[in-house]
Amino acid sequence: MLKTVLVRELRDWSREGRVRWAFGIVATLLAVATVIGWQAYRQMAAERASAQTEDRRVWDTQGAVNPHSAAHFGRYVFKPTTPLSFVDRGVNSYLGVSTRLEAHTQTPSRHRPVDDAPAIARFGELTAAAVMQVLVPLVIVLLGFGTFAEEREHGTLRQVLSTGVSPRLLTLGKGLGMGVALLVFVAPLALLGSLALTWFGPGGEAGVLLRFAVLLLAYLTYFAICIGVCLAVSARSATARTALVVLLACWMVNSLLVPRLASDVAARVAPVPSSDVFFERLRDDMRNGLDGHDPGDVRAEAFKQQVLAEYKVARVEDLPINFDGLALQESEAHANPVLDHHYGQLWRQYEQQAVLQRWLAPLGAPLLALRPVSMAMAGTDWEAHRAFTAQAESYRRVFVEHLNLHMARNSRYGDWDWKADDAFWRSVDEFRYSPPEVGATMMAQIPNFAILGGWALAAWTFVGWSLHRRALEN
Amino acid sequence: MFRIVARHEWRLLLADRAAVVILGVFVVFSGYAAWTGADAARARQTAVQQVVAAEAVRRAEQRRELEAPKGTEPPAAAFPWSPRDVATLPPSALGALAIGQSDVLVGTANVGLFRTPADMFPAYSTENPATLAGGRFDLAFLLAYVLPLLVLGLSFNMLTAEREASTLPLVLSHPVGVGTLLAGKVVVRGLLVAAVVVPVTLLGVLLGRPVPLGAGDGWLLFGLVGLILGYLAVWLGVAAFVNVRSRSSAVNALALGSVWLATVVVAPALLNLALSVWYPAPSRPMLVNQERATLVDAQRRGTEVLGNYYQQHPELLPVASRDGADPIDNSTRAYWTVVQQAFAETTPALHAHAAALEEQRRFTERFRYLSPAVVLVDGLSEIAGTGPSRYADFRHQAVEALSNWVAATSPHLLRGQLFTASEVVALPTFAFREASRAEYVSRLSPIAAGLVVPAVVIWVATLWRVRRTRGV
Repeated sequence: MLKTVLVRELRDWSREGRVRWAFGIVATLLAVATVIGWQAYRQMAAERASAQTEDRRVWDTQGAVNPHSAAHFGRYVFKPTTPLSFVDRGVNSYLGVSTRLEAHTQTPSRHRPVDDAPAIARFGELTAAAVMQVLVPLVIVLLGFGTFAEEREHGTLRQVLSTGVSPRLLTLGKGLGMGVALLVFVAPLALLGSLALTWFGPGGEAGVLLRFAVLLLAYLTYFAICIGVCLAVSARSATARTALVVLLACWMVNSLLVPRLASDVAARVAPVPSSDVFFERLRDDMRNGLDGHDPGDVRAEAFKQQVLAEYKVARVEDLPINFDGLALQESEAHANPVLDHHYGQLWRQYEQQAVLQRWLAPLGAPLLALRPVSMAMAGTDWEAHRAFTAQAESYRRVFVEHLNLHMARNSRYGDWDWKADDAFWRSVDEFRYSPPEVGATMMAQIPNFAILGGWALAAWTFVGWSLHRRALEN
Repeated sequence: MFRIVARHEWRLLLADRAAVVILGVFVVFSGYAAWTGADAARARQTAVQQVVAAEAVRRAEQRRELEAPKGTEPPAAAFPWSPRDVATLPPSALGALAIGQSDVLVGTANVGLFRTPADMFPAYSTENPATLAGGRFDLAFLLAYVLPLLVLGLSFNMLTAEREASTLPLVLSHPVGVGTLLAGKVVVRGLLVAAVVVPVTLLGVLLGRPVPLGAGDGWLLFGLVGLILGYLAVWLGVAAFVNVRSRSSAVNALALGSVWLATVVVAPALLNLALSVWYPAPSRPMLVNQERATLVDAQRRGTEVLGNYYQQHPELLPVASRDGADPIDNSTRAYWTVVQQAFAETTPALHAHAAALEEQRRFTERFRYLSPAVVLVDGLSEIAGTGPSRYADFRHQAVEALSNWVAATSPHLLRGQLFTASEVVALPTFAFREASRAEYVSRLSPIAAGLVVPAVVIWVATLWRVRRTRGV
């Protein structure tokens, strides 16, 4: 009986012109977005790898330069793009692609794609994720708004129920039918995506394929929520028109209004300081210490006395090493906790905003729970960028220390004309980035998985309750 | 007959609880959106004031240092690289209307002797990228995305409700044609929506203004009203066109929803996709590497670059001071000429990059007319002063200010002369020049046409459809 209901639903939909058009258009958009997304990933991956190689070459061939000048000339590291960015580009357009590593300071990443993009970029990109998050639910509405309401209006629902099929079986059949129909979108994406990742991507690493599988599972859960809501509203609506209007309103709330309101409310409740204020506070604390009572000149004098005592000499000129190199490294050691404090505070504010947005998801927008999962699995969220930034900063500290100590050990105090050569630059270790483990990423998304699961349970419980009441009233 | 129809429709609409609720919800959303825009505009104003105040304090300190130097060494403020200026873009009085590009584009610039146009603009932002990606709930968003839904919600079943209730034949049995009936319904709905949306928007913009209105802002408000009415006309036309022949409200809802989705959501996203394929953004990482390689090369030629500079500008050779000492280290001069030389050598690459971005901008300006929502948002951003044009003006003026500054201060560096207090006071300071009314008109005219022309086309098509229909 279930199979009969399922086959009948699929046949009815395949005969409806508007359904065929909707499927055709959305499937085409999904295919185009996926193909272009894949091309963009490959192109960006090649560009950034090339930029990293070129940066290394520039560093290695900078010629005879004082190590501290080289520390200010610095290095650039370019964040690699992740394979699954072809599905969901996340917030990549608003994240810098390069991070400058230089002495004395940690700088946020720069050269965001949005800085160079025209104003229309703010309307959103057409990615596979955007199609599945925004357009596929509309297709679900189209398939499902009249599922029960239209049959009730035409009087055929009573006839179907009189054949002995239970409301639950009927609902399951219709729901499964919609799910099977949606495989038109999901199956090609899953198959082609897996093939592309395995053959043309990063060698088909298990982590990437697992991320892809979890990503698709999240979207299937989201579709199940949409199908449940659709069936429940159709069951409870007196007419198909009412069901359609209510479902379109739900779609608008989920896809348009609540996500915007959520990011707005989060920004209002947990505002981040402007760049000017942030860097002003950072500079103040660098000068005067975190507690405001540790000024740089006092600190420098204390350090000098400490080193003189350690080497048992009276003057810095008598030290067997270059005191300038040690002093530079000491200023780095002082600056690092200040940087950790301020950047840590900023990143905690970002987390607060993310948590606030998450708490709005149960209030009418499962999309607010799906989006972070999708971006996290694709490696295109803020957390993935933060992991890169943290590793780049760790490398910066080691890199600058290497330069400072080389200067301290190989030159004399006051000799700022002393230079290191290309052989030394080539000996500096290269930065190697390790993306977060998929397990850690999934653990961080547990609250969002829970919200999606809660929504699925609520939606289908609502379906069961609605059918029960309607069947009785029928 | 038109007046009778209109009066009747007016009473029906006001008695319709759903219509009142929808309008009420829109008013509440408008209030929130205006609050968001006003907050953002005031935050920008505060940031500008803080920067200007800090700069004023710094200048005052430098002046005191120059007027009453301590000790025998020249004060730090006297050296040519010490004086500096900050260029700021003040928010416009109508800034509460649209956040636009103000949250991603830079409105400050550092002007100093060692700055170049490549590094004078701050490169960092602390704004949460997730908030930027999610977008803000401002009046521009509400008008572009939600206003059409409001209009379609009130008018999707203008005629089909009567057809479905079988009252249409009864109405048309009176001496009133479909055209008059439709006109009455459309005009009443248009007036009702306009009567709510226009005052609420104007009130939100005026109450939330970060700075007092200027002499030229009145006609911008007039332009704002025009854009809203033009956009309203487009969507009312679409609703009327669909209603004329349709027999089902559900079909109307689907059709109108599809049109909204296609023009407001899908078309801009497709344009972005086309842009990424045909006019991809030039590579910033490669430009960065090019700049660095050029700087390294220029540094290697350090003193040679300085020597060449003096050869080309012999009038800037160091002047012997009274005691014969040169207060400025030659390596500092060499570094300055290296920086200038490296920038000059990178300029072709920077121009190529800018030209590629300009191609992108022209492409989007040409094809934005496919989506009235994009046209409206562009127009609202221009009026709010948060559009790319005003930021482009600011960048241009800031670069000009830097050029003037370097021209005023570099001779001191190269000749080995220190600044006096009066010389520092006489240095140029930046003041942003707003675009003239003629420039604003030239920017807003294509936008206005981008709404008027589709509205006219849709209404002509609707009238043609009405003439061909038998009505019932």
